Amino acid sequence: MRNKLTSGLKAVGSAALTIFIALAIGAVLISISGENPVTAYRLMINGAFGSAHKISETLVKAVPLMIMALGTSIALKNQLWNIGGDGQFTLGAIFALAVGIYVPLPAVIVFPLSIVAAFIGGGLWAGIAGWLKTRFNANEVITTLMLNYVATYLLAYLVYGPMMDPKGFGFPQTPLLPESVRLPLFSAATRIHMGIFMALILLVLMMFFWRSTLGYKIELMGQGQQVARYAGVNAKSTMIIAMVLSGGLAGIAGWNEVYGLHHRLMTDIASGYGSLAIVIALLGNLNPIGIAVSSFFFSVLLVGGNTMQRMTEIPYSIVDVIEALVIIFVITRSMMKLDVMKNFFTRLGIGGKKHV
Amino acid sequence: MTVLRDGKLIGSMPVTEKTTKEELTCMMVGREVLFEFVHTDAVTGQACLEMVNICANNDKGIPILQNFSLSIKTGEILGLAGVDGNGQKELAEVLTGLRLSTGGEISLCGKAATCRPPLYYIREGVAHIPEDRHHTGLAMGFSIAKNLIIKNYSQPPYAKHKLLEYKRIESHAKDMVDKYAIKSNSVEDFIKDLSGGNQQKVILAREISGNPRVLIASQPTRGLDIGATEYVRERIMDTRNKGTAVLLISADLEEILQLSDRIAVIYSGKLMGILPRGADVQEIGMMMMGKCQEVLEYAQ
Amino acid sequence: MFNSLLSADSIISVLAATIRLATPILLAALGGVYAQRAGILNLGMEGTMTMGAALAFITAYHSGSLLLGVLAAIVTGVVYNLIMAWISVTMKANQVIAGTALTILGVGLAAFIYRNVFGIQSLPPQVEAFSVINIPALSKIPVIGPILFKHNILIYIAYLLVPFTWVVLEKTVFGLNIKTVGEHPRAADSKGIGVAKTRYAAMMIEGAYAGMAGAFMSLGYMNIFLDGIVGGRGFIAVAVVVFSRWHPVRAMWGALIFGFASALQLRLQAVGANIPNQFLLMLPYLLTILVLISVSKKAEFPSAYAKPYSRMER
Repeated sequence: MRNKLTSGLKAVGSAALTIFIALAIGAVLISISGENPVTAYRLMINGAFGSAHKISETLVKAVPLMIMALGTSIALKNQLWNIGGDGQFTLGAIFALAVGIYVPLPAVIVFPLSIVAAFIGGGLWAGIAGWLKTRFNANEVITTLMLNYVATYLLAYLVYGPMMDPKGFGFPQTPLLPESVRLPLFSAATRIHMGIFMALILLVLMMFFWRSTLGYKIELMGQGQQVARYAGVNAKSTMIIAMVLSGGLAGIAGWNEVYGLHHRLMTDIASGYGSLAIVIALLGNLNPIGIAVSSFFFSVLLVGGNTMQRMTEIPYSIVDVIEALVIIFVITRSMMKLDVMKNFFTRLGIGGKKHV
Repeated sequence: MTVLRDGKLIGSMPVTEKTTKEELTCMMVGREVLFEFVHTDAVTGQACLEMVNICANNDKGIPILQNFSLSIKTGEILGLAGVDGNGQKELAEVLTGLRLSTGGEISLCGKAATCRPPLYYIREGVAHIPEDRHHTGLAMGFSIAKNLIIKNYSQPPYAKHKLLEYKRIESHAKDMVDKYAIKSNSVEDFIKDLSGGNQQKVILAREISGNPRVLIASQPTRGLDIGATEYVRERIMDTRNKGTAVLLISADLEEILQLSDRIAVIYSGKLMGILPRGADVQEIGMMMMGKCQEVLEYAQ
Repeated sequence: MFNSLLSADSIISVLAATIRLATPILLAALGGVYAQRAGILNLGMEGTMTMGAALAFITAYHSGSLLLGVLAAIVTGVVYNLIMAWISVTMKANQVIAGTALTILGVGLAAFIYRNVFGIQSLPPQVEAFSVINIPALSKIPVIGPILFKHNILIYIAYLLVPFTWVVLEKTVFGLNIKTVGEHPRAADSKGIGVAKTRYAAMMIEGAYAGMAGAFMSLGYMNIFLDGIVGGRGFIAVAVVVFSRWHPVRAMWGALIFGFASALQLRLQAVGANIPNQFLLMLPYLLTILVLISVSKKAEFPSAYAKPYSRMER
């Protein structure tokens, strides 16, 4: 137990350090562009927390990111590099909206049905990649990447074609969802909606998931296919299940955006959440609580970054840079251990005997 | 010609027409015994693991096992001697469902068990100490406790309603750590942080603590120090004394001689013959180099 | 409508545009062939290209020399890819994640640098882009002339790099080393081929190609720099490399397919055709998946694809 606690603390510590270093480099870049980094970061924090409205915006952004990152973490635990979050999100959104506008049933039925449809949409898209991997040994990185583009064009086809709003003056968007099936808002003044409960439910479910036998099986697969097969795990079906669950959650993130925020489909609805979800899942150490915290952090970065851009001369792209630095430090940190560094310095001929 | 064994130079000699296979065998095999070992007579029962005309391909798809037949009784250790890479690995995999055979039949205590998935063999009580403990036998990033249940994580008492029972898993792990003298700080230690000997003890604990019907032990002491080697061998002996049918696959002839009740020799995927305990080591050596038993007997 | 599409002029202009639109993809894909052959899957090419595009534009704008711009892009690409090489070869970190990070970093950093150099302007600064060079005699050939021989210098270079890349990979010791390192790093190591060194070299070459592809975007295809100027072409290049089964000539055909799909789509948009062109645009990606399936079955992948090499591990 104590062991678990210390390893947990270590994980938090190293994540915090990672973020700190990335922000420090960001600060250097901000100074280079002639602005005061302290002011900039203060603006960023103010932009994310400055008022009830701002906090709600931060939460609105955090919800889909967290759901998607929870999904991504399932595939990553299985050592499946699902980079198709955007496509799975898009398919989930399409399926969910289709249910909302085409199924003429009471909201009590349409609502749960739309969640199931979103899960199926996203799960199907990821499942294709999983099946291609098990059946043909097709690299999932490439297939999920390709399916992202296919999903983008499929969405474009739908919003320019069969699903286009007839009263939309030719704008590439679908009709709005009926009011009865939209996720209720907490108050009319903010955009924060009940989707946050979905995120919390999924968070709790995921904590149980990793305690379940299926979760254990997926984790074991991540330790290597050889040992998993040796332990009697059916590698192929487990891979497909992991992909479907992973994509299904991305689909639910799509559902959340459509039913809670946009209430319709338009082009580029996923807007790069997929790669963010990978970053968040990794920074959160693939642990549900860690993911909840890191998705909130990224949401602060995104929402606050927007404010910072409006109030200063600093371009928004600094947020991208910080984001990327966080990933780079996360994936290299395990290698950056003391002995590696010591080795490096010894080879350079400095230090070695002393502690580096 | 120079012979190396266990990384040590054993000897060099010029290759002449007078060089005999026997001399070479002696140098390759060696005869010194690591430690004293009590070998009681086997109390054998019915045939437990039977293979008839097993054929299998290696990873490259080339046939490697050819019509391999063997039968092992309960309560005996059958040592399979042979130079590495003569089909031993593939045989162990076929017997545990990790590799599909291309021909032949396997039966467990009279029940047909050919070409089943790995889980079938696990459930039927076929334990397996694989030769590659880093990639096959253990999940290096898992804790000791989690590694001890990789084969029965989904069954009670370790799981209830599809959820893992951490308390039971932990107490089981503590038992095993005590019983098998696994040196560690806690059962939450990562396997990758343990020494090779302790890693092998974790495998041993998992595989033999459930009193399996059959134990396939592939190179069980490879790369271990003397203490751990002795421990593992004693435990394999215990398992046999409790009535398990043991197939001991080893390239270490000393180990085979020490533990086996019968000794089979494999060469190039074929069975060269089966010898009783106490057989002439040179004869085994000759068979390991491809001389068939009948041929040898005929020569005598 | 179809008449206007099927007229000779229209077909010629679509095919000429195909050549043009295929160029950045081709350049990046040729670079990608080196890297993937050496066992590195770099999803960060999009970032490298964007960095190249920005630095090419900034240098050309301030020096007034397009050539210097291209050189700056090449140097930028080489240096930028060193980061990927360091992460994936030295640090042995996961290449997929590293590539994702480098895409985000490259796109962000390029926009950041551009903004710091030019500030916010109502009209984006422009340069005089590379002009079209009519190849004497050849450009006069009817149909073929306007399609193949009326392009700017970067386009000619890109297509000349196809046979060059083929020669390097198939006919030189260096090319053989790259393939060995990607196929069987342990064997390469035991034969004294430096695995890390070769992979670094492959990554630097890829960087040079991808940097040039970026320069083409800002100095050859357009004459300005925009955020997101590369527009996913880096990822398409990765697809083309897989599509080509790691062969430069097939990479050219792959790039042309993608180029043709977008050229035709642009044309359809221009004439206001009411055909759902999204399926046309989707097609190359689906084709890539199909090719991937056939490739994977035959196990034509470099064996050490996307795997770091460590002497210690077996």
